[in-house]
Amino acid sequence: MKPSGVSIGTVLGYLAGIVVGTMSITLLYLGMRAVMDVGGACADGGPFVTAQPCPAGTPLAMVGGMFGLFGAAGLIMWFGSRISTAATAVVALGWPILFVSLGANFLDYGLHPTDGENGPVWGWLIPGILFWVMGLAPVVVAIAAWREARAGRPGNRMSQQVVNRLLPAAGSASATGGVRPAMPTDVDARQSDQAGFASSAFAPVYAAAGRSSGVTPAFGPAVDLAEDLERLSRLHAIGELNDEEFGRAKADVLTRADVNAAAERRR
Amino acid sequence: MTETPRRFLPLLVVIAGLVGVWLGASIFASIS
Repeated sequence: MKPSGVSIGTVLGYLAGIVVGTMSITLLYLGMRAVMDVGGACADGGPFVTAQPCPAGTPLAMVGGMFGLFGAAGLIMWFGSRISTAATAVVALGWPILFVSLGANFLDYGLHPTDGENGPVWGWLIPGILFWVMGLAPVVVAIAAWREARAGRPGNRMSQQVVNRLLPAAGSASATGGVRPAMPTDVDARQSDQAGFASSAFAPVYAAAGRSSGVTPAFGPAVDLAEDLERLSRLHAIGELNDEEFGRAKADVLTRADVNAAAERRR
Repeated sequence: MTETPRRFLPLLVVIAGLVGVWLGASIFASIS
């Protein structure tokens, strides 16, 4: 695959993921409004007495929408990982879009009740506010991180501090296996790591996460040195890295190997 | 093999997103 373009099959698979994703969110959004129109809860069949039957089509829309979201996330990550990190990261937009749109439903019905009540209905407003906080908090952090990355400020980045604060917690909670920031499909994670991302402020944190969980972090102590050097020389050979960049990156990898070895010894 | 230039991808993503919204609304209208 040439870097200039992406194969048509990959693009179609990726776009199918986008279509299924937005379709699923639309179905959930409309299904939720239909249910809220009849008071916010409904039940059909089984042991339920149909005091409030579900509006036609909503069970299918809601269940289909939820499964569709998982399918869409899978397609976007699978095909996006063949395109670029940014294409894969689009899947993360699903979270704010989902929570903000469903939260908007809660807020709308909270402020404009359909059953003749006056004034705000707090039973709708509170979940609406919670949904917006859940949906927007990661966006705020991501924008801050993006601005810092653009400004190129080294060292004391807010995004790093967030990760540094969260990771030890993730490590201690990782009896359940929960470790790790980078997505498994993130093809560029290790390349960007070679630019020194994890070798500085992150290294001790990854080491700590690795130690407390017994799980190998996505990048960190157990990254295979030979593999990294091999990849670098491959990039050098195809001209992606010039001699100077290659030399720097190689030195960086070797330095990190030392840091990691030290971390290993401390265990 | 046919290839899609990367610069078209963002536009394609936006179009696909709108198609998905339209599809979801149509499906919902037809089942409800």
